Amino acid sequence: MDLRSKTAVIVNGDVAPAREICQRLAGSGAHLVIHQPPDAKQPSYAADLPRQAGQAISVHAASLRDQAQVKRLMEAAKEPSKTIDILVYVARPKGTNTIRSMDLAQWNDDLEEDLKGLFRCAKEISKTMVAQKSGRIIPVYFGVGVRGEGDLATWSAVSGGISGIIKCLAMELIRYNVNVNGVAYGFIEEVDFPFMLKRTIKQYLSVLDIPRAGTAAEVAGAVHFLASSDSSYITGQNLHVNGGLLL
Amino acid sequence: MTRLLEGRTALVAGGSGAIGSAIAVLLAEHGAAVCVHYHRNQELAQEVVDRIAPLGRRCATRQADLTKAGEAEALVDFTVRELGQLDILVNCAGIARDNPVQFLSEAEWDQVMQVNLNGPLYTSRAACKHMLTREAGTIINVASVTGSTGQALRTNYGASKGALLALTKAMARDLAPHGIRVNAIAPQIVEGGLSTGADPRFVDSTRKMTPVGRLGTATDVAGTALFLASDLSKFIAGEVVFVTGGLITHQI
Amino acid sequence: MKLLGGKVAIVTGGSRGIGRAVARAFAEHGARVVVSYASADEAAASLVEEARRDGLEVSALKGSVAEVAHVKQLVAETRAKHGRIDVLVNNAGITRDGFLMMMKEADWDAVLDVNLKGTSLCSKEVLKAMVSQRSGRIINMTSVTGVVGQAGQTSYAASKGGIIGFTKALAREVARFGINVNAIAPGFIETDMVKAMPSEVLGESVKQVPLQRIGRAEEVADAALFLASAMSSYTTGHVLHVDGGQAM
Repeated sequence: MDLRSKTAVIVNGDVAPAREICQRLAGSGAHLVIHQPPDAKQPSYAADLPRQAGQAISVHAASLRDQAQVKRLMEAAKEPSKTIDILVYVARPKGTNTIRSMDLAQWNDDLEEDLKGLFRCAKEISKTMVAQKSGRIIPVYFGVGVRGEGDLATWSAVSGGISGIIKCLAMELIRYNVNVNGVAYGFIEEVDFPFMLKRTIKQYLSVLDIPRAGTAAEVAGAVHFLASSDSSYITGQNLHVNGGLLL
Repeated sequence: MTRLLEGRTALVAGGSGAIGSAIAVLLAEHGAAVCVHYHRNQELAQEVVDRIAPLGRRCATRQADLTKAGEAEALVDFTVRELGQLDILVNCAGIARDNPVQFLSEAEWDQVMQVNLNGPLYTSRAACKHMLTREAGTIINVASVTGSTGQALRTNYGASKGALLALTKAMARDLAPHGIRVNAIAPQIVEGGLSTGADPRFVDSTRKMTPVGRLGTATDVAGTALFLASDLSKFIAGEVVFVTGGLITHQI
Repeated sequence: MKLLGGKVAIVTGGSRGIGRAVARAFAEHGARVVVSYASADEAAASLVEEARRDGLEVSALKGSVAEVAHVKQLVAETRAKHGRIDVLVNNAGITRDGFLMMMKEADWDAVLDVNLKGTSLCSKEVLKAMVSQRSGRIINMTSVTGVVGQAGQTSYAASKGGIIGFTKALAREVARFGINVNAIAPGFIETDMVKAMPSEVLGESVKQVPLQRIGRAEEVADAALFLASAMSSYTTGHVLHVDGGQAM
């Protein structure tokens, strides 16, 4: 119950592994404000999340393409405990493309969604966290940008851009006691990797002597660590949850 | 001993800037024909060409707004038409619009992402179409340490350069089997570059922390660009060469 | 355009493979080169003879870089003959592969002594000259194995990984004297070691290389030329991968 009376905003609650992250943070006592895009279905898991008396869990729709909606989301998030302690930003999966084959309109749309979307959330929430002199910002994303993949050009760029944002924000906000760290995951069972069949993923991992894909619960564990006081002296880092995939 | 780039043709996007002009001149000194791109600074671009022409190299200037894919394609087409081919693309146009994240405007975000990330993407896409027909070429993205290690007040700049570094690797993997090498340079503060006008205390403390005892110069970056443009780096792909005077020695 | 005109270079492990290619490339670019080698007398002799025939200046001295006496002699003779030392390439290296569980202590020690200690001893000895010159370049040969590891090569990986840390630390120490210290991490290079691999294994390995081929010793030598020349004036403490994109 180490997160009791803390409020966590989970952006893109409709994307894996958001559900398991919510389960873990709710199980640790946090109030949750679960965001989803306006056209997404209510995450059905919200009603099933563990909660104690006095623990608030709510779902809010907002478009990340509209700064005003993001602002309203963050303001609504201050309701439960008057503070916002944790922002978890779950990046959306991207499609397959090479630099040669990519559709440029899609590229710009993808960057708007995941890089500018993260920027807008960070911008709004840092106003609160700076005033509080405390906070945690935790982007959660596929760590493909570290090495790049030829046919995942957009996804690589988004991943690299998120890492760039993490490093810059960490340096900027460190004086306000706001820690910024990323969870960069590898192949996770519950995450949809449209470019690869599950069985191909298994083959790929076994070539590298990695016995299995990871689980969303394992990603959630890393997020919980970065949200907790155990990681208070860690900032500007990427925690790679990938079973050794980058080695 | 022949010059390193005899018979080659280079396009320097952002060739009118501090770093771009140094690169353009050095590539020309080593035998390359050079197209010097500019967006607004036609006079500066002309000055670069005026330094190249006496070397006996073919050269040209060309205006383009590289945040528009069509203009990037036209720039590359022009280079191939005017100078005969395209062997080397250096993506050197970059801007900064610094602000604490709470005060960064949408326009400041967009401008930096468009120029620093989209520009190199569009130009590289156009260039590799030509390079693929010959199964040969080299693309050099001038990024920044900020994309790898971060800097305060530069959330937009850091995002654009981090994305560019990752895109460099994705492009390298995709194009290497076709004989096209893609690499990046990560400089730190360069005299006369984008940190002109930054807080002097920050610039000064950076200088003091740099092991070689000085900030970078455009010539320093140009030397590395020459290496990556030439056959000396023929077995190097997807590499980020750090040009920081020892300030940054950890990568990613 | 001679990149190393008027310069003096020492290349250890210079009689064969990558070291030999470095020695040749440096000499062709105008440097006077002294090569250290441990045992390949014929190779060393042919290197010196071919250089002489081509009007290049290369000499050779036999000995082990793990032995202080040889290192001192190597540096002293170079200074006596050529008056200065501008570049040191620490390329001498050995492997004694095997799984750690069965590794003999003597084999571990040999690899660490030649690869890591040798690098340190040679660097220490040339620094006296370079510091008084207020200029110099030290180039250490690490390996993709030191960056990402390889089963059966714990000792080699330890020595090559150690070279990376050593490179960065020394870079910080001597930057103020105008001395740049960098490392090269070659991938699969066409050396005797790699040629001896079974072809199916090599074929599988090449698939991991974005450039879809193994590299040539000359291509590693070209990277050394970059790090020895004015082109890399502002790069120090860096590990330059020459591996066709393998360890991106």
